[in-house]
Amino acid sequence: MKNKMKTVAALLLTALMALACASRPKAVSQWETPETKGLDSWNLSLYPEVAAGTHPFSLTGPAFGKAKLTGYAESDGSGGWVLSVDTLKWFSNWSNGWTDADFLVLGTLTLTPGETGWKLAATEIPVIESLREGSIRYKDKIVYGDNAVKMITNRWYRLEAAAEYLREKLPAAWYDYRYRKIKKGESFETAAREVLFPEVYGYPAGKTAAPRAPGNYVRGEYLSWDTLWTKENFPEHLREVRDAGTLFRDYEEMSPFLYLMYLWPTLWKEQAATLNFKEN
Amino acid sequence: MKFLPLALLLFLAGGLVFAQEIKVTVIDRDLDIPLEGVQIIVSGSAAKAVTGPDGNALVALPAGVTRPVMVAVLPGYETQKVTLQPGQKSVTVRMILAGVIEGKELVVERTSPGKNDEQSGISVSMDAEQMEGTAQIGLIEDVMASVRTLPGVTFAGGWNGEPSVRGGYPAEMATVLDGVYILNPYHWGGSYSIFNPMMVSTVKLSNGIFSAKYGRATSGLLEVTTMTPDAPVLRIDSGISTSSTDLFLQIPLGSVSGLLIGGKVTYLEPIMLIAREINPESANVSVPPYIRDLYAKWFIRPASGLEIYANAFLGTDGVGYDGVTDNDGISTHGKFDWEYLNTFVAGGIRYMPGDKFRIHVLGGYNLNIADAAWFMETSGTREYSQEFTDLYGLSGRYNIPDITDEGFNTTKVQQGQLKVEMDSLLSQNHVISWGVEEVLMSSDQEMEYDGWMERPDETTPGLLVYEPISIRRNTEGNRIIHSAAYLLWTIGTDQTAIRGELGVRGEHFYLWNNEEDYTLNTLPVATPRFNISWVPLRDRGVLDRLTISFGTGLFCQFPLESTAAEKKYGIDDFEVGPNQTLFGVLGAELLLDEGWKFQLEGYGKYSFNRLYVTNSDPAGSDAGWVVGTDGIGYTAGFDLMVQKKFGRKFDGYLTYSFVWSRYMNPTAAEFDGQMAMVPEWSPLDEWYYPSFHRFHNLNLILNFRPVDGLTITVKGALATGAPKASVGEITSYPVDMGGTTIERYGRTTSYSDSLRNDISIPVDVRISYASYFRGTKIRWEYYVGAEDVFTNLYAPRTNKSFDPYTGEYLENGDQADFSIGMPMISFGFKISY
Repeated sequence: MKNKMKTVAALLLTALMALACASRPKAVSQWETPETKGLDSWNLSLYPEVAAGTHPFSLTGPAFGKAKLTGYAESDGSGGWVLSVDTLKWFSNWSNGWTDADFLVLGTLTLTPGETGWKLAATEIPVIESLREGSIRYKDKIVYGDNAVKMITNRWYRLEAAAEYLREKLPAAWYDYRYRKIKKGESFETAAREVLFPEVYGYPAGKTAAPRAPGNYVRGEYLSWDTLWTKENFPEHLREVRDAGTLFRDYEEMSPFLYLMYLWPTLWKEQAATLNFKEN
Repeated sequence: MKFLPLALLLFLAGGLVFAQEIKVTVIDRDLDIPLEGVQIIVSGSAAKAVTGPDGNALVALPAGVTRPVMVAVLPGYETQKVTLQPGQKSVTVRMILAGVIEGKELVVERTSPGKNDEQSGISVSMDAEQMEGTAQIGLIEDVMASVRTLPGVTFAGGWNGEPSVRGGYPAEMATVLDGVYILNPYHWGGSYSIFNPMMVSTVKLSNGIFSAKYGRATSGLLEVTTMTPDAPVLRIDSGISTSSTDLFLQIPLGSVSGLLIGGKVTYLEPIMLIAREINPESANVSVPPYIRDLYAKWFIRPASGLEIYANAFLGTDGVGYDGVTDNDGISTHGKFDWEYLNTFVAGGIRYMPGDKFRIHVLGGYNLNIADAAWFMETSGTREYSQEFTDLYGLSGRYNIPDITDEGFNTTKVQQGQLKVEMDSLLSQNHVISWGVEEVLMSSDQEMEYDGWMERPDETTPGLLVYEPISIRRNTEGNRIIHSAAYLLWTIGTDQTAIRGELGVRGEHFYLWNNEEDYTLNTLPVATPRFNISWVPLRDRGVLDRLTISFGTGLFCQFPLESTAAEKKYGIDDFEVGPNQTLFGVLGAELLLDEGWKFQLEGYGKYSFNRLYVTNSDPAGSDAGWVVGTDGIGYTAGFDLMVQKKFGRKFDGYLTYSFVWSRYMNPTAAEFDGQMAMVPEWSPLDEWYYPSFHRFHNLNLILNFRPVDGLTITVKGALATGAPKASVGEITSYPVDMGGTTIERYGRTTSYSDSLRNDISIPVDVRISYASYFRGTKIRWEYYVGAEDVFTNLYAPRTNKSFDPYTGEYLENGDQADFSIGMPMISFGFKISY
């Protein structure tokens, strides 16, 4: 009897270890950017090969929050690596829930040794193609499967459109990923909120709310939205989702994603090249 | 080392990669035709293929790549990329003609107020989120605490979980859990229900004309639906508070099955230590009140339209007391032990062979065992009071020898049930449902009592004597089989202007007792029911919907007390039947934008054929029991509900219920003080308000959310007092006990139609703060709750109780609502994943 129990315990332990190993494999190579005050480092990790010369990789950085970009890395034959981007593993939470999503992302990056360190470049800019799977929790309810995919996809489209609009309103260079908060009281969040939802977070300096008059406000998501502000400031395709409060819900639940979408083009076109990775 | 091969297998399984062929089918997305000549490339490998005339191709996937990306290329079409999943055997690619721009449409999505099946004129319902502030507070977190705030429910006071719905006796409400009738779903004799907020998904109280699908109730139906563990990943809900720990796990078992398992353990020892400081008598609680509950639910959906599920519950509770109290020369040693087992298993199969027919077969078994043992020994020396001396001429001191009352009572009640329900969709707006059910119930009792009883002396008129009595009972009780069938026609849906239900239910009760060779047959009863709701206005500006509803129906219930029927009472076949109630409801409901709801319903009830039991023997022996079945009652009232279902900064609801409820047991009293024992010590031959009746009942529940994560819930109630007996002066009288005259105290008590206890105004407050651990799916919540926060400033009072040996009032003997003398404070921490 004792032996049987030992066997069961050992099996359980082995299974747990196998599970742990499967969920978090140990990196075989790692590169990191030097620590900057108040900012997370970028980290690129290669994991044990799954096929001859092919290693899974993951890329994390301050722009991604708790998300990471993953794919497969192969040697470029001259000491560097070609990274085929495959997935954006997204996770973010807020006070009433969370969003977990696996986006299909296709693109190619390279990591090459240079004189001052390893350089990351996008030879084929990663593009978010579709959402593979996801789940959303809002208060006590968790949505899985097709419903979750539909909800997150719709949210992705809306936040991407809002990010595109913000790139016009707020110059990307100013809100550098390295300086999420460039000076006290000013950050991407503050600026974006003022533009997108002044009714909730306050109007930008010098701007005022529309007078309370019929037609000037509509209710959506239990809040009143200034339709004059919408007409004056928003492109046609974003007006309805803003006035319905839908965009505000998106922002509440997935605001880091808005930031990532806002940065996405410049991240690969300009900023990636400025990173200096050191191999650990 | 036998496990080594298996361990190795586990390791290998973790690193399995696929080297296999996958069938690719490519079609034109718009024309839905197969596409030939599509070049299939697997990214990062040399694997390639071209589709044939049927649009199919077989592609050999490279070994070692866990999630390859497959690219489909055909001139004139947009190139498509698909990521393949491990183990995938086939994939269909839908290609779009080049030039067709696929826009990312920005869809407006609004928060849905949540679908529930509450219906104007029939029911109100709450989901787990709506119950959070009212159910998750206090000594025991209890769904019934939320139910008690709903319209039509009379305020019951503290330590009482059994609701009276629209003037009916609490026992006249039936409770079903996932469709199965549950026998006595309470702990601690009715103080709290067994429904843990962590296991309940929704609760629906039908205070109106509920469906003919359900019987066994004349005043309300409570339908509790538990969580279905259908999440594809593990979910955990847990909580630890000052008085209990709760843990529930939802475990996926493959993609079509799941298990919910969890329970509650209480520990009131710390609270008892504090209570001891306030009331030293609390130190005599030898076993602090406890509850141990375990619940499990399993389901599987093995095929489309088929679901099999099972529930099991095992609950125990108990309390113990062992203490000596000295009061003015009288010493009383009291012991009491209470243990209760409440368990059930239930299960069912739902099957929809097509989209027009559904069959649901369900059954269950319920076992309740209540075990009470008690011992009380009173002794001491006292001096006759001056008043007693003046009246009876006795003076000096007298001894009270050991007066011992002791005994035990074990009651075992079992219930088995089987139901078959069928629904047939005739057309989009017409459903015919029919079904049958059998419920078998039995009750057995073993009881011993040795004590003393006060009774008139047979030789000296006017003298009372204290005599020992001994009662032994070990009986196999009665068995009752309740057979029922129903037929229903449902018209319309939530979206149609007219919606209603016309149904009839046939019921029959048969009672027998093998030990006594006794049977009692009853006439079958038909209970037709009808309700209709009309939506004259829908989607007009801020108005979502106006609904007018009307319903009427007949309901019947064979009261639990019927299990006590015996041959010696001489009740013949067809002499008695179930209690019946004719019920009518008229209501209006207005739903506005932003989750506002206004509901007003008026109702009237006529109760007849009501069972009552009285005792024609003034000495109280059970030989004098008389059964009456001509009890009647009238109830009328109205309920108002104003609700803001959801809001960012605040939501909540207000309910107000006015109830007028009178009953009568028509048998004339044969002696002073004769009352009916069933229902619950009610007067004879006069109209009376039942003991739980309160004219006005107001509940206000407000949830404030001043900042993200912080919720302040205020739950206030205001209820006018319940009936209070008319009592006379406390006077002393002599009782002879083996030659010694003992001075005893008593007072006359009679029903009063006008006296009432004080108004009850309990206010509970709960403050919680919740959020998620950074970067995780783990939600945490702290809360602090205070029940009856103003109890030290105001507490409702009733007649004072007194000591029968000293005549002195007992401390806190005039509480109309249970209170520990201070607000009940609770702290808790919850984690969910």
